[in-house]
Amino acid sequence: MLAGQWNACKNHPVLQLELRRVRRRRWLSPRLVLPLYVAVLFVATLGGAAAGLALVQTQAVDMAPAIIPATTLCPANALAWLLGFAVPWIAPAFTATSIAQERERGTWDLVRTTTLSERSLVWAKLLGAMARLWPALLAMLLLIPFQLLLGVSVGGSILSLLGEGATFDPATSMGILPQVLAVQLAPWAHLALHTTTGLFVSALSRSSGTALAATYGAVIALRVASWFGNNILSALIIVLLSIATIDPFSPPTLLSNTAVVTILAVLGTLVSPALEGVAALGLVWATIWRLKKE
Amino acid sequence: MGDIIQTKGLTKKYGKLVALDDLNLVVEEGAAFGFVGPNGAGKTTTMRILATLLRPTAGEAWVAGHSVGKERQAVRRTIGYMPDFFGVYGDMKVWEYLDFFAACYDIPPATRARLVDDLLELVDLAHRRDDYVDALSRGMKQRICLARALAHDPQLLILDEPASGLDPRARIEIRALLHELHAMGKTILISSHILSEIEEVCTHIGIIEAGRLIAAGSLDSIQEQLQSHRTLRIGLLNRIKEAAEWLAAQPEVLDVALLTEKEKSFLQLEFSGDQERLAQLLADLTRSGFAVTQFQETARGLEDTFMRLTQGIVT
Ligand SMILES: Nc1ncnc2c1ncn2[C@@H]1O[C@H](COP(=O)(O)OP(=O)(O)O)[C@@H](O)[C@H]1O
Ligand SMILES: [Mg+2]
Repeated sequence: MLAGQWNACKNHPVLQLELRRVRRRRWLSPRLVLPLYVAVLFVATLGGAAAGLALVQTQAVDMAPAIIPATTLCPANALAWLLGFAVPWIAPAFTATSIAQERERGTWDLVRTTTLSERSLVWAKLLGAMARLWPALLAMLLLIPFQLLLGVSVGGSILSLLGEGATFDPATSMGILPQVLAVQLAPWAHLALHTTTGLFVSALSRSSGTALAATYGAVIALRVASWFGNNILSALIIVLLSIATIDPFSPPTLLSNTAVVTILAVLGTLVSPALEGVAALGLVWATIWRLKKE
Repeated sequence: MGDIIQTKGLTKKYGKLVALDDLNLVVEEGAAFGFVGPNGAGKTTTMRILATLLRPTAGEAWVAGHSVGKERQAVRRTIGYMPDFFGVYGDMKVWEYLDFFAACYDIPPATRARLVDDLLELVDLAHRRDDYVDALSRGMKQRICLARALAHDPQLLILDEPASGLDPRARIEIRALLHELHAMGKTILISSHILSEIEEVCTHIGIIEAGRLIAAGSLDSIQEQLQSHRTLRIGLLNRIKEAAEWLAAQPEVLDVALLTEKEKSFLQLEFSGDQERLAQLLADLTRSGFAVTQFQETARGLEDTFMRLTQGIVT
């Protein structure tokens, strides 16, 4: 059944049309340059991380802070941050124009009178817009392992150095992995929120110009709202966290206090992406609903 | 045969503007129905509602028995719609364009290639198969859009002003194509603001003005309705009351009214005779000793609309 769904999705005419456009465009330079760049970055990151680990393992505790700027300046990290910031802000330009531009050109009514369902149309438009950004998205995906590596090696080392004995302990170092992983979700959650906002606005707009302007306005508003929502929920989690760590009366449980702290910290990091992910799904649903009502 | 289109009390308001006002339209299966009315009468609005692109403010519409509001997919399978203004994907070749829409109608890839060739043959564009759609002339674009609307072999074609903006040659080609499609058994709803432009293709006519259907029926019955109803305005030097009585006694005169406009009195009457009887009436009137200063068929209502539509006067 899943294969059938995948085939129906892959063969969706509107998605095929978008993909054909992506294929027709000349991607020669990014196709060549990007993997090369990523490879170079990989070596650089690995080198940086190895150097950091080596430093930490000599137990030169006061050297630790120096590792942070060194590794954050590491090109892979810089690229990951750049993409993580830029892609979510560029992507909605494609979804915002997707439907509005067809309306403007007068092709939308033609597609709408065919038997394509509103649901499939919306997903095809969303995937089609994503397809246009495939080199950037691929790079973002490829950079995730480096980010994890970096997070664990540097963040983990620092964590373990700050702990008892101030010695490097690989187990404690790995303990930071869930948090680092959760942080990696942020740009994808932004991407989801921003693109679906663009799609929804596009379904409401007659011209791509207004769709673009309204999309960026809405995205900024949503991100401000998400920031507030995140802060409120994070504050709640911090309260829970302090209860978990301070409460002397709590009976011993299967989980140690540090485990609880880690879980809560991961949850705290997940609040924002979760909120944005739910909002994104809601926006897809709203777009479908809007088209059905039209 | 049944009715393929039926609307009941169809009303569409844009804010305060009433674009459609309680429209009751019936189109029989197999008809070539000309939907005629001046610009802004509500033709496009009606067609967009029938094509599931627009929701009415009130009233309901059915296409082949399916509710336009509730069974949109079923309606979409039944109709082939060609809007008055449409765009093409400029970056597509002619065959790709048709293939794309065939895919949108869920026609399997195996049969699409054959279908595309057949459609191109039908609209006489086989020789432009590998050209970009953008490179086609307006008339050709119109034809490819029509071919697109035929991809799923719909029962009903809804064509919004397909002849507008075309040069005479392209117009003739479209007309020939419509004849062919009608002969193939398709029901066609076609709109125009110029009656003469589509008259020849149509078996039935509906006249719409200001959102209201003011006449509908077969071409002959419409003409009959028109001829059997004229409004005359007669001015006289004197003896105006006497003339009114005399006129009221004539068999074809249905109603006489004494009206005053700018301090001048005249008679307005409804007359049901044809042109010959009209000439006879004037002759009789003068022979009876009335001094006629004005004898005029006022162009009002249906007749007026019909005249303007026949002559293609755009208001
Ligand atoms: N989207 C719209 N918003 C506001 N008014 C509209 C809109 N579409 C059409 N109208 C108005 O509705 C009336 C009917 O328009 P339309 O159905 O396009 O007429 P026709 O196709 O017969 O020329 C016109 O007065 C037109 O200005
Ligand atoms: Mg119109």
